[in-house]
Amino acid sequence: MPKEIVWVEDDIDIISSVVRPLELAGYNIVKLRSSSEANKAIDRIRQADLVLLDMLLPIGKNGSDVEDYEGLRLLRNWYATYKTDFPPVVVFSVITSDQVVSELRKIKIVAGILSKPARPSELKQKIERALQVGGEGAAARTSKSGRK
Amino acid sequence: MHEVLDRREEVNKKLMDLIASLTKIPIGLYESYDGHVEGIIPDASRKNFEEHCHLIQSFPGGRERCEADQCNRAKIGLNSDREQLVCCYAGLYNQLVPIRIGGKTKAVVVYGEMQIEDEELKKKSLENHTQAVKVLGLNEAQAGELKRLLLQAKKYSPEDLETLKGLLIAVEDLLYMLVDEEKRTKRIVERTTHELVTRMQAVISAAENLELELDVLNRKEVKHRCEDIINCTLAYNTVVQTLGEHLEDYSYHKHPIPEIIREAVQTYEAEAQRRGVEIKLSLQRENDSWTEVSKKHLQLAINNLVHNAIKYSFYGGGDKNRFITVSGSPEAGHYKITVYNYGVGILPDEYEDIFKEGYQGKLTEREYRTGSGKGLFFVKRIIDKHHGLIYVESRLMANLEEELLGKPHLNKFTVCLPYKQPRGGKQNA
Repeated sequence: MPKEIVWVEDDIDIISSVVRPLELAGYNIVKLRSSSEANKAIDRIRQADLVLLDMLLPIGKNGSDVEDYEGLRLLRNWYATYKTDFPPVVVFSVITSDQVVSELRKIKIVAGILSKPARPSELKQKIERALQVGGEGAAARTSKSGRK
Repeated sequence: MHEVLDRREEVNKKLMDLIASLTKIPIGLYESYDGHVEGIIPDASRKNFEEHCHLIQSFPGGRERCEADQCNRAKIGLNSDREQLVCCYAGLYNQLVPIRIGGKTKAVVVYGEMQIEDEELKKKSLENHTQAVKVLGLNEAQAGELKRLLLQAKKYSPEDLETLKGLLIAVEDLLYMLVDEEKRTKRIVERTTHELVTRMQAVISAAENLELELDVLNRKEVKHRCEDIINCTLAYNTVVQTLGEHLEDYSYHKHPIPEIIREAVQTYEAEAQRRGVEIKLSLQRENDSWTEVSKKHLQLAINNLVHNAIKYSFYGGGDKNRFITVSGSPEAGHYKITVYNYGVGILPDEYEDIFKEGYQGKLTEREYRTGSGKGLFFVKRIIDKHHGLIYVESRLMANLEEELLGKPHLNKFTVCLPYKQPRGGKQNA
C-alpha cells in the first residue's frame, strides 16, 4: 500500500513541483489549501503516514483571511487534542524564525523542519527520514493501524 | 523611508537580472521619477537583446539612439497606461507592459524583440529599418546584415509575458506595501519574504526536477545550466532573506557560538557534497566567559561565510583539493571563528573593499560569480553590531604569474566576537 502524505499549503498551485520526486517514488500526496480544509479533513490526516505543513496559511474558504502562523495554531490544536496519536509532521515553510522553531520543538509530533526554498530532493530526504524515525507516537500508531 | 526605496531598487534590479537570466527574454524596466524616465536594464538582460540590437548598437551612434529610443517608447507606455506594441527606431517591435501600483502606472516593462505577421505593421517595421540604415550611414553589407537579422527576429509566447507580469506586479505591490507601512512590523517583512521565496521555490523545483529526469544523453548539457539556475536563485534568496534584516530588532542573549557554527555547516552540507567539497569542522566550547549574541543575525552572518567558502572552492576534475575548514575556539577576551577555503582568491588591495556594499571580488569573474555582492557587507554589519572584528587573508597557492584569474588561493576569514557585551535585551537595528 503506497504511503500517504497530506500536504497543507496555500501556494500548492505555485510550488506543486517540489513534491514530484515523492510522487514519482510512489507516495500519494493529498493536497489541502487552508486550515479550514485541514480541519474538515482531520480524519484523513490522522490516517496519513505523514503531514507536510506550511506555517503561513489562510483560514477562510477562499484563502482570503490570512492570519499569521495559522499553521502553528493548527499544530498546537492537533497536539493538544490527539497528543502523540498523530502522524509525524514535517514543517516546510519560509517562516522558520528562532521564535517559531523554538515553539515547534515543544510540539512532539514535529518530526522535521525544512526552510523554503529547498530542492525537491532535500524535501524527499527530510520526509523519508521523518517516516523512518517518526514522531513520538509512531510506534503506538503503528500498532493501532498496522499501516506501516 | 529612503533606505527602503534604495532597497526597492536593489531588489528590482536583482529580480530583473534573475528573470532575464532564467528566461532569456530581453527585458527593460523603466520607471518615472518626477516626470523623468529612467531605464533599468540589468547586465543579463542586456546580453539577451540578441544579435539585431547588438549589431545596431555596434554602429557609430547606434547605442545612443537605441537608448534614447527605448526611453521614448517607455514614456509612451507610462503615459498611455496600457499594453501596446511599439516599433523601435531600427524596425523591431517591443511590447510595453505597464506596472500599476495603487491604480497608477509606476513603471513600464519593455519586452522582447518580436517578428510581426501583420502586413501594415511589417511595412512600418521596414520603414523604420530603412530610416535607421540611412541615419547611421550603413554601407550595403552592413545594411544587408541588419535586414537579415530583422527578418529573423523571434517571437515570444504570451504565457511568458503573463508570468512575467504577474511576478513583477506581485513584487512591486509588496515592496510598496513595505514603504507605505508606517509600523515596520516583523510580519510585513515575513509576508514579503514569503511571497518572493514561494516563487523562487517554484524555480528551484522545476530546475532540479528537469535535471534529474532528463535522459542520460541530454543530461550533461542541461545539468550545468540547471545548477546555475538553482545557485542563482539561492543567492537571490540571500538578498531576500536579508532584505528585512535591518528592520528586525537585534536581541542579545547568551547562545553557544559553536552551535551557530554547527548549524551553518549542517545547512550547507548537502550543497558541499554536491560540489565535491569536504567540510572539516573543528569546534571548541566557549570557556566560562560567554558572549551575548543576536542569534538570528549571527546565524545569517556565519551561514554566509560558510556558503561563500563552499561556492568559491574550486571544483571539477584534476587534483585540486576541494575543502573548507570551519573552526571555533576561545581566545583571550574573545571567541574566534575562522573559515578557510582553497579556491577563488581575494587580492590584497581588496581586503577592505570586499566588505563594501555591492563589491564583487576581481577574481570572481567568469562562472565563479554567483553572489549578489551584498553578503559580506551584511556580514560585517552584523559583526560590527556585536562589537566584533572580521578580516580576510588570501594567499596564492601557485607559482606567481601575471594572470591570477583561476589560480587557487588559500583564503581565511576570521571573526572575533568579544566576550564582554555592554548591553543585553532588545535593541533597535
